[in-house]
Amino acid sequence: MDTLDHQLDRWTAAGLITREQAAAIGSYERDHADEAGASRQRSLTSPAEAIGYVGAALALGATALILSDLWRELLVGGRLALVAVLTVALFGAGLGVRTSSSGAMRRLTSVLFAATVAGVGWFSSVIAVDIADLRPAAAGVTVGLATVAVALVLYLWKRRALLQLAVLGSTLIAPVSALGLTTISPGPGWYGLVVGAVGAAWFLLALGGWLAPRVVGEIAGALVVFIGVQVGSFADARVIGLAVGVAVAAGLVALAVRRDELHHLIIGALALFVLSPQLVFEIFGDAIGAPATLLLVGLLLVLLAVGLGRARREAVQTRPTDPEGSR
Amino acid sequence: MSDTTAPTRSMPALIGAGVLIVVVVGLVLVFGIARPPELATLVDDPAPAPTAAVAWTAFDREGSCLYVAEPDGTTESLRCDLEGGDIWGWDDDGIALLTYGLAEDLQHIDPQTGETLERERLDGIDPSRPPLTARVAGRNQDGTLTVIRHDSEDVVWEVDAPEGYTINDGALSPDGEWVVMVDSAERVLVVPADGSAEPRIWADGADVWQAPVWEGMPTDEAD
Repeated sequence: MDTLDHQLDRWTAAGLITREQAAAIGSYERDHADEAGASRQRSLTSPAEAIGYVGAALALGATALILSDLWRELLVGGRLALVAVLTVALFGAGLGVRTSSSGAMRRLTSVLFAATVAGVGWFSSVIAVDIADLRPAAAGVTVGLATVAVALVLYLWKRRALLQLAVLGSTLIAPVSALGLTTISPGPGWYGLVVGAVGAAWFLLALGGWLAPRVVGEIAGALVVFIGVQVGSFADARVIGLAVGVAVAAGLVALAVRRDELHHLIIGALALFVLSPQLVFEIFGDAIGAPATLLLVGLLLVLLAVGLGRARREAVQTRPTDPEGSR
Repeated sequence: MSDTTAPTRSMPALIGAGVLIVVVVGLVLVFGIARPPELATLVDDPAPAPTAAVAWTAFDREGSCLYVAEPDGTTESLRCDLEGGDIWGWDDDGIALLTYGLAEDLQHIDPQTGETLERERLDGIDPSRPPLTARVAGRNQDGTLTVIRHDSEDVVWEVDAPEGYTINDGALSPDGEWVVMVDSAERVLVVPADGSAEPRIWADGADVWQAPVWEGMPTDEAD
C-alpha cells in the first residue's frame, strides 16, 4: 500500500483527484487487499495446476506401460478386479473433493469424474470382449451404452464442461459402433451422417439452453458436425458432402454475426478454411490447379469478411439504443 | 465459458434435435444397411467343382487358425494357436506356413491332421515377399463392382453391389481354371477364371488377412 499512498499523494498534488477521492480510493484498496492477494495467488496456482496435470499424465502413462505387461498375465477376474478398483478409486476421489469451493478442486472433480466414465468404459469392454466374447462392433455398442449412462448421470449431477464432453464422446461411440454390426460396412457417407447428426443435435440442444455450459456445447457440437462432414466427404457423393459442410460453416458465420458471438465465427471460419479448398478442388480439379484454388477460396473468404463487416456496421447503425442489447 | 447457469430452455430446439436423430436413425435403418450380393453356396450348388482345395489363415476366438476348404464345399479348422502367419504354398510336403511368432520359421503342416511335419529356418526367404501370383482386385464404382485379374486384366465378376462391398484379395488356381477370393462380407468365394459363371460361397465368416492358397501351389514357385 505504500506505493499506492505515494501515488495518491502525487495525483492529489497534481490536482488530478481531490483529497476525499484519494482517501476513498485508499480505503477501498485496503478493504479489498485480500481479493488482490487471492488474484495473485490464482495466477500462481494455474501454472502449478497445469504442471500437476502434466505430471499426473506422465505417471498414468508409466502405469499403463506397467499394466500392459501385467495385463496379458491376468485372468478375466483379475482384469475386472483391477479395473473396478481403479474406477471406484477415481470416483471416490471425485466424491471426496466435489464439495470444495476452490476452482482447482472443482476442475479436479470434473477430471476425476470424466476418468470414472473412462474406467466404466474399460470395465464394460472387459466384460464384452473377455466374458461375452463379442465382436469389436458389438463390444463398441456395449461400451458406448455403459459410458453414456454413467456420463449422463454424472453430468446431470454436476453440470461441468468436461462431463458434458464425456457425455458427447460416449454418445458417439454406440451409434458409430452399431454401424459396424452390419455385414458390409455402410461406407463413410453413413458414418459421416451419423456423426454429423449427433453433433447437430448437440449443437441444437446447447443453443436451446438444454446443455450447460452452453458455449462448450455449441463449440463441441459444431466441431462434431464438421468432423462428420469430413468423414462423410470420403463417400462417392463427395461434392455434396463438402457443399453441405461449406453451407453449414457459412450458416455458423452468419449466426456469429446475428448473435454477436465470437466462438461461432471461429469454428465457422475454421471449417470454411478446411472445407472450401477441398470443395473447389473437387469441382474444378486440375483445371485451375492448387495455388489458383487457394487464391479463389481466399478471395471468397475476404469478400465474405468484407460483406459481413459491412452488414454488421449497418446493423449497428440501424439498431435503436438499447442498453440491454438484443442478445 | 463461464455460463454455468441454465438459460431459458427452448422447446423447438429440443424437438428439432429429437426429430433430427429420429430421421437419421430411420434413414440408416432403411437405406444404410447394405447387404452383400446373394450367391449360392458350393455345398448347395456343387457342380462344377473346383479342381483343388484351398487353405487360409484367419483370426478366430482361439487365435490364428488355419482352415482348409475341400472341393466339395466342406471346411475344416486344422489348428489354432497364438502365432500369426502367412501360407507360403501347399505342395507334397504339406501346407507351408510362414509363422511370425517368437521363432519365425517355415512350418510344413499336414493338411489332414494339422500337425507340423517339418520346420525350416527362414534363411534366404524374404518374409515381406507376397506369396501369391495372379491376384484379383475389386473396384466398386457407381454401384457396380468389377473384379479383374491382375495377370490378364480379364473381368472375373461384374455385379451391382453397395458402396461398401468390395473384394479384398484373391488367387488363381495352379491349373488356371478357378479364382478363389475373399469379399468384404468375410466370405470365401470361388469363380471360374474366365468369369463364365457367378461366384459361389465356399466358406463364410473368414476374417482373413491373406488370400487363400490353392493346393498344388509349390512353395518355391509361390512368389
